[in-house]
Amino acid sequence: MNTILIVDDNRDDVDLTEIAIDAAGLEVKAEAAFSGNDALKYLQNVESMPALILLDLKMPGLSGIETLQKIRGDSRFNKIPVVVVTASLLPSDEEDAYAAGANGYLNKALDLKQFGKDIKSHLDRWVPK
Amino acid sequence: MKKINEKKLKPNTAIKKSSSKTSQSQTSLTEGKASLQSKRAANRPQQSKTEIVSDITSRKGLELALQESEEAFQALAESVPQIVWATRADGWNIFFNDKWVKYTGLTLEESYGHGWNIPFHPDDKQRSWDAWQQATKHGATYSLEVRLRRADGVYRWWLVRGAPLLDTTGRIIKWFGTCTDIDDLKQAERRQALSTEILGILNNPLSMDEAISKIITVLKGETGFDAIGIRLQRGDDFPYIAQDGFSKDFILAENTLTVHTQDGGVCVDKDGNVCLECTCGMVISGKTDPTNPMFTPNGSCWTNESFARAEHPIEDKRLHPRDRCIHEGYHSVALIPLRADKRIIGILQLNDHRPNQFTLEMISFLENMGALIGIAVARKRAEDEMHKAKERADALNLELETANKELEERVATRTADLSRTNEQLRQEVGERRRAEDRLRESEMRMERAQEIAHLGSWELDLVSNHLSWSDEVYRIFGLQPREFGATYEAFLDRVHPDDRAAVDSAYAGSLREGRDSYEIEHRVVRKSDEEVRIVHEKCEHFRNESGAIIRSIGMVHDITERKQAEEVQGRLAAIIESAEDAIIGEDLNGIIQSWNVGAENIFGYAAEEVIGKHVSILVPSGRVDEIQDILAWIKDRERIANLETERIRKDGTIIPVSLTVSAIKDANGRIIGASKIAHDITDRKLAEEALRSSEEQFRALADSIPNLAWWANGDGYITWYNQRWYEYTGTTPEQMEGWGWQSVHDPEVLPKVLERWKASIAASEPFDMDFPLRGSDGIFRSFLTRIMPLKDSTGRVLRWFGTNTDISALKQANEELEAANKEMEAFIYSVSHDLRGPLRGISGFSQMLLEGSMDYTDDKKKNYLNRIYLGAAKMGQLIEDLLRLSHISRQEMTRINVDLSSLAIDIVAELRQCDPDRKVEVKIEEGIAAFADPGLMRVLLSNLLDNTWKFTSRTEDAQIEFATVNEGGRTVYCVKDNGSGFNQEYANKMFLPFHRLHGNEEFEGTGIGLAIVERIIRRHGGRIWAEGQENNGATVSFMLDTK
Repeated sequence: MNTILIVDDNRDDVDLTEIAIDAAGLEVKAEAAFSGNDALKYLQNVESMPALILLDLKMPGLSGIETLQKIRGDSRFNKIPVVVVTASLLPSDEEDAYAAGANGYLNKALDLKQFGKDIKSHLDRWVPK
Repeated sequence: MKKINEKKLKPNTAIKKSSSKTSQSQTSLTEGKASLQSKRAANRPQQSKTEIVSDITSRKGLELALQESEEAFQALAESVPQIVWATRADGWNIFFNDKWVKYTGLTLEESYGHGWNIPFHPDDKQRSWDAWQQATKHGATYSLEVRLRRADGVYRWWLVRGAPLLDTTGRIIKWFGTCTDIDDLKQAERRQALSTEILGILNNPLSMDEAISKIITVLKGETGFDAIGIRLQRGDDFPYIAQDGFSKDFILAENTLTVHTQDGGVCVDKDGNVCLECTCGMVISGKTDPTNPMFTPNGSCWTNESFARAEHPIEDKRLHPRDRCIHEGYHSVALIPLRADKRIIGILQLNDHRPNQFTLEMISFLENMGALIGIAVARKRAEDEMHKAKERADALNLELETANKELEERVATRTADLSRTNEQLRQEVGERRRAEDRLRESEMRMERAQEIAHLGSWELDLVSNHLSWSDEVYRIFGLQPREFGATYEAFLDRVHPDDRAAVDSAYAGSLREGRDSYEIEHRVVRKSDEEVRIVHEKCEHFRNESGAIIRSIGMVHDITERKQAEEVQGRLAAIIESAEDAIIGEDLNGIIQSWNVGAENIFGYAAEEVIGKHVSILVPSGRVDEIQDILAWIKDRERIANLETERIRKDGTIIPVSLTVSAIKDANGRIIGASKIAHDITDRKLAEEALRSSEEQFRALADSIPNLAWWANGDGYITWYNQRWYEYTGTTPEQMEGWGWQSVHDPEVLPKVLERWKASIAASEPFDMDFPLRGSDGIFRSFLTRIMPLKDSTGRVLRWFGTNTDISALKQANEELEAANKEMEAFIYSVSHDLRGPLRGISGFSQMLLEGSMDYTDDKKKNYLNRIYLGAAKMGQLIEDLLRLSHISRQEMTRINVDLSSLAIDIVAELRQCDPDRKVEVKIEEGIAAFADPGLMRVLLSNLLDNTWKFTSRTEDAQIEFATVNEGGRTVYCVKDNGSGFNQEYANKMFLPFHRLHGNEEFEGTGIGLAIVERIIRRHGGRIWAEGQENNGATVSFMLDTK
């Protein structure tokens, strides 16, 4: 079963993302990391790499961009697709995300259904069936 | 025609004669009867006819005779060559014979009544009508010459006669009349008159061209043709000598008849005759074809319908008419050769736009005229030639006569001279050699003297016509002495072309008028260098015993230098007179010798008032000593320039003057006086005063402004700075003069400044630039520099005026504003991000509860509700913190001395109260103070201490410390703890709003606290920084008023 790693410091957002993944109806397992450092630690220790990483940008300590740079800088997991999922509306964030090696960019919608649809489209795209 | 007239009119004449004593009316009656009877009496002798007439007039058989004769009259009327007509007594026409009908083309019906008037020429209608009215009224005979229109439209002259037929009581019964064609007669008369007139012109002593013009005018007036011209031979061609009626274009195109070859030469036929174009050319060349009816045996060409000709192309192209007559619409054209001795010397051309204007007879007449004109022209030409020849002969005769006389005179003189000379020779032979020697010597001296004086002499022996020049004459003329024999022509050749006529006539005139001498000044052009020289010539004539001039001796004086000197002197005098300055000449005693207009104007004295007076009248009493000083100075040093002093005018006013005094020397260089030029400098002094006062005002103003200010000369050399400049830069005027200002510039920017400033100077354009200037404190501050040129009326820059305005504060404010704007934007994004966080939780979990499955467990529902509540609480906290942050920025600040130590103690006490279980060691240095806003200091310390309290919550033996460190005389305040610390890598993010180094899982917080702290420090002009290590405590330090 494919794993999806959710990296987000906000517990609510992690739960809501898991709900959205469930709703997408894919045979996947969701894992969560609450900071960039946690995520890197997870990746270094896990046996089978996640099929997709959903990465928040604004986190205490290592920011999303910094985390992404580290992921892309490590040959062990630089092939994993990363979709940045953020509540930020700052236009430069999207550019920065792609510049750092993101495969997708997703704004966290307030509406849960919309958020679910957005998550599903990214899963459909990046997670092998 | 003539013959017929004679025959028919003769009997009438006879009748008239026989009854010459009867009344006019009776004569007419008899005449009429004679006509009536003439048919019947045609074969009878004339005598019988008279008898019949007397028979008829007898009253007895009158009625019968009348009746009988009606038919006879008809027959008779038709048989006569004239037109016959009859009217009623009242003039109503009742009869015309067939001739009328044939001639006029009118029917009888048209003609009866007053229809007879129809064919009359319009010019004759009124005249004939009036005459007819007159005749019918008085019963008088009617006789009139009129023009009648022929059926083809041509008018011919007719003699119309009518006579009344009276009854016994003298009452008019009828009118009978005839019309006789007299056109040929008329024309012959007119031509006769014309011939006479033309002959008259030709015999007149007019010039040929005038005569020809006149002939054309007369011909045109008489014939009424549209255009008439005469061509005569001129060289190879036959241009129009005179014409009337042809268009300009016609003449332009037709004036030349010669055929030209391609190289512009004249085309000549095999006989050597010049080829002539056009029909005119054919007529002139005599190349006419007698078989062609257009040409007459006399070589004229004529047509009444030129257009018909154009349809028949002529084979010989060279002879082809140019058809211009046709193009210009001349239907009738006649070309009549003008002959002299059978030779054709020109043609007479007559053109008319109407067709059928010529008759053979008229052409024949014109040919006669042509012959007449030809002969007259030839004669006139011959006369002209003869006249010229005579003039030449007369001139020759006169010349010959003069020459003879001269010769005679010369022989006489020569003979006399010779005999005298012989006599003298004998006497002088002994003396001669000595004399010759003396002469040679004298001549040499003379030559030398002449050379020195530029004075040459010449001698012309009019008897031998021998001219000799002294060597100096040759030199004056720019020739080598004795280069060639002197001649009058060679002399004239050297005279300036513009003066030649005057010189020639001066000499010739003096001879002609028999004067003894003459003088003239003229220019010569030196042959050697083409230089124009001015010479003065003086000549004296010598006469023989009989008083005839036989010799002229003259001298030529080169006076070029003198003339030039005169000219220079004249110019100088003019300059002196026109000068505005006073120019005064004095002798060494100070007596005024000369006084120009400028002096009059400046001092108010006229020349005659001051010349001869002592110069002291111009000097104010306090300066009298100056006069001697100046004279003494002049004797030594010769010149004083621009001595500014004062003089007194005639009206007593003292005026400032600038004096320039020079010595006047005589030819030997001895000083004999002084020339003084006095320039009235009142205006300049006033202007200088005005300038000085204006500059003082300006300087006062420039010193009062806060800007740095200065001015420079037109070339950019700075001559003055205001006080502010020296204050700011801490420099001295000596350091700054000219281009010394460069020392206060930033060496990196200076090249650009110099480049721009020099470009401005070169272009005379304003300068505008920001650059730093070093203050006396060594700090460079930004200055906005503006430099304006002050120009004179010609646009030349007199001065540059510059200001430097300190804009460092403005620049800083701008930079700060920009930073604040950027920060604000980042802040707003952060706020929106952080506010959306809890909002999404609230929204998401509410949606779950609202739309989710009904079989959620109570725990799950509670969990969701709890998270909704927490999200709302978080948002509330965030909004509150934001308001605090905003408040910090806006709150008014009052700085006093604040005891930070006591403030810290209070805060810690509050913390302990809220969290009584915690054991924390707190050290607060005593007496920590700051000059700051007490309210903000409380917020600052409570935030920092809150943090230490929070981040030591998981640390055993937690320690917190508030202390100060002295760094270079400044106080650094430090808040330390031994709590969880942080990664130093993120130290720079700590003070940004919403930036947190710990997740909420570890430590709660909104990320606003340190942002508030940072803002308070900033408002106090200080700075803040943090040092830490993960799990090993943190220190936040700050300073106030570092900026």
